Amino acid sequence: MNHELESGTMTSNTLSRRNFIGSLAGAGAALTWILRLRLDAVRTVASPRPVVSIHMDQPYLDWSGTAMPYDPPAGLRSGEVLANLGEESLRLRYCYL
Amino acid sequence: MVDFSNQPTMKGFFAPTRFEADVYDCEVIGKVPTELNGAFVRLGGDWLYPPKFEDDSPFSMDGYINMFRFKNGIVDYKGRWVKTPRYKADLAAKKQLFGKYRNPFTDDPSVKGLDRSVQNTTPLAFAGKLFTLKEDSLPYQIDCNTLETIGPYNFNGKYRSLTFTAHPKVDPATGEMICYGYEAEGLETNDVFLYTINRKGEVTRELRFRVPYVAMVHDISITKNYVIIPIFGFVSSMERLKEGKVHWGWDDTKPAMVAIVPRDGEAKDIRWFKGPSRATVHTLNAREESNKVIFEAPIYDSNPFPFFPPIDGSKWDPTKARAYIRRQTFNLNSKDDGYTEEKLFEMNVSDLGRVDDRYLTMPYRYAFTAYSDKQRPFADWKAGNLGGRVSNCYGRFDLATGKMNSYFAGDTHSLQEVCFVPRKNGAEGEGYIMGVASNYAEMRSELIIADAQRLEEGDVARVILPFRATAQVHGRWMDASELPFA
Repeated sequence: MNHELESGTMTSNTLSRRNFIGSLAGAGAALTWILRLRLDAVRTVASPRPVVSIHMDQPYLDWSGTAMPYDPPAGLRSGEVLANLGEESLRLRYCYL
Repeated sequence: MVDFSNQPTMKGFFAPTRFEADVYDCEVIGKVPTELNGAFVRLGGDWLYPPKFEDDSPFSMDGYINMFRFKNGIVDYKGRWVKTPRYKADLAAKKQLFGKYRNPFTDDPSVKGLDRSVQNTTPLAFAGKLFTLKEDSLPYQIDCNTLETIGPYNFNGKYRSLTFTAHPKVDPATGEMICYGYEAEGLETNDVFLYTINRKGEVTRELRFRVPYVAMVHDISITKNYVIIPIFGFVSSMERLKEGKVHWGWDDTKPAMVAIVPRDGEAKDIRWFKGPSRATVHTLNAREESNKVIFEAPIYDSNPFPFFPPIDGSKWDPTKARAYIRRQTFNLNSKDDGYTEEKLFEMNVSDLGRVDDRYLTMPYRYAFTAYSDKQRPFADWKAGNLGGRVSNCYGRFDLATGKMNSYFAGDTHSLQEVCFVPRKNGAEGEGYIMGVASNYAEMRSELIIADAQRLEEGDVARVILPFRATAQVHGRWMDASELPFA
């Protein structure tokens, strides 16, 4: 909060064009810095940094910091059961797929 | 207690569902065209109990009929088992009593003599009645509103074949149904009984003849004056059955043979033509041009089904199990028994092709079927590693220009047989295509509806089921004028 007050607050209602544009630039820079702080704060709560993990031979970013296994939506990869079958084995069971 | 745990491929999306269901006012993405008044009826199978033999054909699955009823832009779904004597016997015994595909010698002795039909191939609306069809038995009549099984139907005793094809053809000009039974006098007989049945359901003609060898006669085509009957290398014999084998084996030495049968002729009038080994399991259409019969179908190079293995013990060849849309031309004035064949499109397709049925027997332009487009994305990580191995597109094949337009189901979907639904009073090909898509990411089935002339634009509507519908063999659109729907 102190950062916001110190970097973004205008104290005068009378502005020159130069001051106005300068203040906009400053406010923009301050806003970016504030957002980065807030995002970092959230990330700090969730995880120090994302961890690249692997689930079912596919990489994904684990933001949880908890190292819990990835819990995909129900039904995901429901076709996988046939994936490793050769062509004859596949067509033996499912000729129209 | 049923146990599928030793069936490694009957898991995930492919686990048997085994329930009957009603879903009223289904969830829809998009808007169902209100002009659609009727039902998309699909017939296929599920395993009430695991197969008795691990190498049995999937064509032994117990019949299951489902219906998407369309009315005023609302779609209701209903799914029921076809309750044949076989289904009832298995349920009473709490186990699979029936053996290999169309081989009663492999059954439990307790069911000897029982109708072992599974009724899992094609639904048919004719003469105001709904039927399920399986080529090893008579049709079964089904209540079109409740989908409850009424029982076998023999057209008031006038249909005398013991079997009835899964692919009769209705002549749009006369309303007559041309149908037939092969192995008509019983198991392993080479008799075919061919019938004409009028639009009121009355048998008006019967022709009996014999085929050169006992073979699968799965589908036919008709013209104004002829019936085209292909037979090919799926062969059988009583010896084979007594050895405990599945009904069909593939004999690569057998030529493809095609009978051209006059619709008002006698057995002596049949012309048999012969060509290189092929498998014509399903057909598209046929017509006459002067003294020629032109026949088009998605035809395999050779044996498409590994569960009907080669009789010489050789390995099934997947590279020859590819179907291409072909044209065969039979010159009825020729002195020899040859015919010409040409491939109309170079890409291999699903042989479950459809045309605008209003144009059966006539010159036509469009054929529809599914195919696998390996250039389209498939999200393996969401669906499982089936990319490139499933049908993910429907194609409209323009026989006049050689061009193809396509509909893509999505990057986690495969497609079952396409169905063309004509717009009332529309020109050929004006209407919708429908088909059930399997969603491997969300483990559910979805009925897609697309404008047949704007396939690239995607669905106009997608009916969402909150579960997997049973596997389908064939599905048909039945207009409200064809059946006494509620």
